[in-house]
Amino acid sequence: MSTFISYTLIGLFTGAAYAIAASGLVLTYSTTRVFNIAHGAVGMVFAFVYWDFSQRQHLPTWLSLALVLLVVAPLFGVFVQRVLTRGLGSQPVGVSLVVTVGILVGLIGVATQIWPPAVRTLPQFFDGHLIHLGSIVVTWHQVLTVVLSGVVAGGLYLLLGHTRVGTAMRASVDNPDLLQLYGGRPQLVAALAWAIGTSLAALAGILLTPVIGLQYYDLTLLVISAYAAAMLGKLTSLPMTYVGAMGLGIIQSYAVGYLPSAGDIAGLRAVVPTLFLFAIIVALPQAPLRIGQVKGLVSAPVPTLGRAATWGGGLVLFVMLLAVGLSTAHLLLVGTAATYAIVMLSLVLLTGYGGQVSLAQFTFAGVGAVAYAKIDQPNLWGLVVATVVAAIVGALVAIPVLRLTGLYLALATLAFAQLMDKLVFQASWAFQYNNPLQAERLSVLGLKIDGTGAYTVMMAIFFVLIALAVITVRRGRLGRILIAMRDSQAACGTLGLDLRWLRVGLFAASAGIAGLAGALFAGLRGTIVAADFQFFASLLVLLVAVIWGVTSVTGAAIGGAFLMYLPVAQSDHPNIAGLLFALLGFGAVVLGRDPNGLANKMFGFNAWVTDRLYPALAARYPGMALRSRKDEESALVDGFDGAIAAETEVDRDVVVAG
Amino acid sequence: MRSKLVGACVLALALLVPTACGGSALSPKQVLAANQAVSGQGAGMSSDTTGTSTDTGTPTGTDAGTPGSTAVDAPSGAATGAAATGGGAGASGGSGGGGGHSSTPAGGGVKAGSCAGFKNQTGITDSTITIGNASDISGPVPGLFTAVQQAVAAYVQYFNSTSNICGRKLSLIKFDTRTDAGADQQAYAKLCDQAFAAVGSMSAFDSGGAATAQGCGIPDIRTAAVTATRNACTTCFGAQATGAYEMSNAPADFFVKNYHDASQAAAFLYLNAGAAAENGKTQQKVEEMRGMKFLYSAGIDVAEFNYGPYVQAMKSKGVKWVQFLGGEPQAVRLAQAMQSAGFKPDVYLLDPTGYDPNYVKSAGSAAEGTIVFINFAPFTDNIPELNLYKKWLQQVAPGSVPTFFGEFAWSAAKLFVEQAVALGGQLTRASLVQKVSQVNNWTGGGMHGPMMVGQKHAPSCVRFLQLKGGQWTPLGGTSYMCNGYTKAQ
Repeated sequence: MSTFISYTLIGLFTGAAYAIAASGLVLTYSTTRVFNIAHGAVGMVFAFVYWDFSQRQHLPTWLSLALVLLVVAPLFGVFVQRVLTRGLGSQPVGVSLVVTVGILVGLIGVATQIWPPAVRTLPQFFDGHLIHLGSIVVTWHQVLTVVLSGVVAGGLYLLLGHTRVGTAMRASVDNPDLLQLYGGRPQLVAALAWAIGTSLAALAGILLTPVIGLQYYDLTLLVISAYAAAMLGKLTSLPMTYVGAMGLGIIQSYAVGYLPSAGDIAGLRAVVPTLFLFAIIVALPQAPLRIGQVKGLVSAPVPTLGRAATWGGGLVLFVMLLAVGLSTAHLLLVGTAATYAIVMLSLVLLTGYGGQVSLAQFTFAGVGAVAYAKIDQPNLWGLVVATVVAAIVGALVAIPVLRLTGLYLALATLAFAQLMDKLVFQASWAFQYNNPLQAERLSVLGLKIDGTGAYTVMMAIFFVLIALAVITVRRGRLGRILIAMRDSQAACGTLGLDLRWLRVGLFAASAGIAGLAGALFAGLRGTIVAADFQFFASLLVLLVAVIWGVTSVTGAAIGGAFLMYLPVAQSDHPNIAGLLFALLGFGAVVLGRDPNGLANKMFGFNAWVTDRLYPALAARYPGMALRSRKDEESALVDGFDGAIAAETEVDRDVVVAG
Repeated sequence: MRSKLVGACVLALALLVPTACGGSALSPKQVLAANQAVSGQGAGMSSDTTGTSTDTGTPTGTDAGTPGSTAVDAPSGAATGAAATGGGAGASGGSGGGGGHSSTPAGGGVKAGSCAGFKNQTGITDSTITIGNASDISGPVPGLFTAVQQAVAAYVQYFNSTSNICGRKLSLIKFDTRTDAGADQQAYAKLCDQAFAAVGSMSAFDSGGAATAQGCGIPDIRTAAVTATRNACTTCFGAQATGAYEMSNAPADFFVKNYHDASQAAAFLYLNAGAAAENGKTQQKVEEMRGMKFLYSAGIDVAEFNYGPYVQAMKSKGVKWVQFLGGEPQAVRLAQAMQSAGFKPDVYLLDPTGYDPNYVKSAGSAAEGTIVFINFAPFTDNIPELNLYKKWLQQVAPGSVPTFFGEFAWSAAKLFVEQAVALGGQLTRASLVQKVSQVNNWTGGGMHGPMMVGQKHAPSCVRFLQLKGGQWTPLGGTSYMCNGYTKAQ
């Protein structure tokens, strides 16, 4: 019996840590409708800040705590809300997820840059003091954590439910304009919510670091386990969040104590939080569709197939030149860029056109890679099988979450990615604890494509073919349905469109494309390991895809090259490696609100030249005989020129907000 | 990313587990020689089975590289230091050197082969022999194996200061494998074109470049091979030799003999990631085969932060002996969790992970009493080769701290040089691979226990240290315990 009580008490400490983290998460979501994936990273940074104050600068503990929890963290929270996440609650969930993932990556970069790797320790509070309850021993630090978690949960419950400020917080997320009419100040309450939420993240970091150690990634990613607790409260109910957190912690403790420690079932211990999260998400009642809001987006122009084919041909020619001129080592990098670019194409289809966010695209690539390696058919047939297997897995992920949209769907993909990382990829029939799988290079119609140069050209060809397929879809009826689904599911429902199976098909197609990329990657490398397909890579893929443009093929191509080059740049410039990561993260924050990304700016270059530069030059130098777009349009008015009109045809998606 | 981070640490550290196979113990003479080197008593450890190269732990040589000489002093320690530079005088460069010998390398006596017939080839010019090192420098754990590159750079600088190989100095090119299998592959693609051999490389995900290395035939004398794929590569070797599913018998034998009661109430915890998971099961199995009894074993997920339940489980079962296999942060976590729970096993055993100032600093009082088993010389030992490593390390990286990876990297460089010198004019990639494949009692000048580099088996010999008062002190003496090795599968 005492053993059972011991496991329960130990689990309470785990649960308390989850509760503090999850409470902050729920607070910011319930008041601003922004799910802050960077919550753990915030806690990590402030753990470093607290270490800096208390250990490096030797300030008294109480002062360090006060400075961090009452001054620095709240101010940072206000900054984040006013500058980085302002208005995100009314944006599509994909935008808010990308921005918060960008903050996560950026904060990791900042921490790495300011506090380079070194041994840093934080002592536990009341270090060395133990409480003996019979045969059970607990530390004062553990007790403090449990007590604080209760205080935090209770305090927030009272704040949100029984104070005017809390009422204003809850009102601001529903209708900030109406709140303002009633004399409320929605921006102020939102900032207050983020200030408190950030303080809570800092508190969680400070309490956990003496146990975990001061690491960049451990605390950042640990909070993912707290998502499950937050989901139990449907991201709004603090009492349920608290119950969920404590329950999760205790279940984890019992799993260690009472599940077999060896054998197949033992592997389940590692995925308890993930299974918890997945189960809750699937069991959640369907969220009501929000009506009256059409999220119109002016997408990047969609090229004609002819123009796309021309550019694609040019890209293949360019890669051919590279294949001739570059060394094997550099060609491997080109191939890696092609892999990333194809995975980003899958995101163009899923996120850019369909508006669905996946935090597991690279996991699907891993599925394709494993399938290709395992079936050992290094030919087109093997490639097709790998693609189909990945597509089936994508469909299987989408089916249980058919009812879900937006954030819940994204979190379901995150749970899937974690399950794959911890359970499936570690299985003996897959990578088995990071053992490499061998994969041969592809043969196409009997012709073995062995050389690295030829293989990278082939990968470029696949990229172009898939890009043409994606553009074809976009230009057709299916593409219009996807755009409509992205802009307003409620409106689609009103029109009688059943989007559920379309979403499944979309997920399957997207996963299949990613799986194809994985299979090609496996052939390029010759050996693949589980570490090549970790879920964190999916976050980076999503970020870079959004930065360069998740609504265009060009964005995918450039994004692939960019993501390939990022670790190379960090290796070449180790002194600013953290800074580069920070630039990536915060670049995504800045650009995340426009999914058309930087590529769209390039598309606008042509128009800028013809609309702005040419007229200016023509006015200054009449002899140059430059024709601007206005001149062309005038000519059209005078005499219709169907050929010119056809050549300049572009599609733009403009939806009027209703 | 976290898995990569943990995998990087764990794979790198798990390889240090002495593995064993088949019960083929070393001969008493070999064991005596190994232990004499440890205690600084002199004659050399690095003799390979053919006996063509001996390296003296202390300077005893006499000659200065006249043809046929057998031993030359390490320049730093020798009264005949001036003579050490004489050996290469006769060696001319280019293809078909006109005879003469290499100036024998740092570290002691090597029978230099004649330089006649020496040919320039990939990575070799009239004046230089280019070697490469590809190690994890950047990635989730920045600077993971920086110490390895520093050690090889230190050896190169030491060697060039006094010696040459058939008139050629060493030139080192460094690559960063970014804790990534793909980057390892890219690095070795470059090394194939630019270097004669790869020396001292170390990567947590070294499977990526294995096929590339083997494909171009580049000799890859690594600090250690972490993955089975790399170990299987026919041109790849590790100064720290390893064998699949093998472990030294010594740890289990030691504890069964000296901590018998505790050894019958044992627990094995390992990080459920990378090679640690695989090696953890292997080690436990071997230890059971050697007479230990395990009451509890479990893999700990990388995402878990509260090790309290595992400590409780061990307490409930009456465990008295705990071994952990994983990264240093996790070892600290477990030590602190045990301390917090008031659980004090008779033995808390770590692999060389624990022999790290970071572990002692991070764990604080919780680390007191930790036992580690090692197969290399502690940094405090007075061994000439080790002293050379520490001294020249400060030349290339002032202020840097010696590490056991650095020791093995230095050892790898020494192995390369000695074999290259012995080959002389016969030096080619293929001949070097052939020569290294015959080295099976390599001690790196006494820096570590005998390694079966060519046969690629787990080292048999280990010794033990225990942390007392914040200092590592020998446990069970300073001699290696060499009881052979066992293969678990």
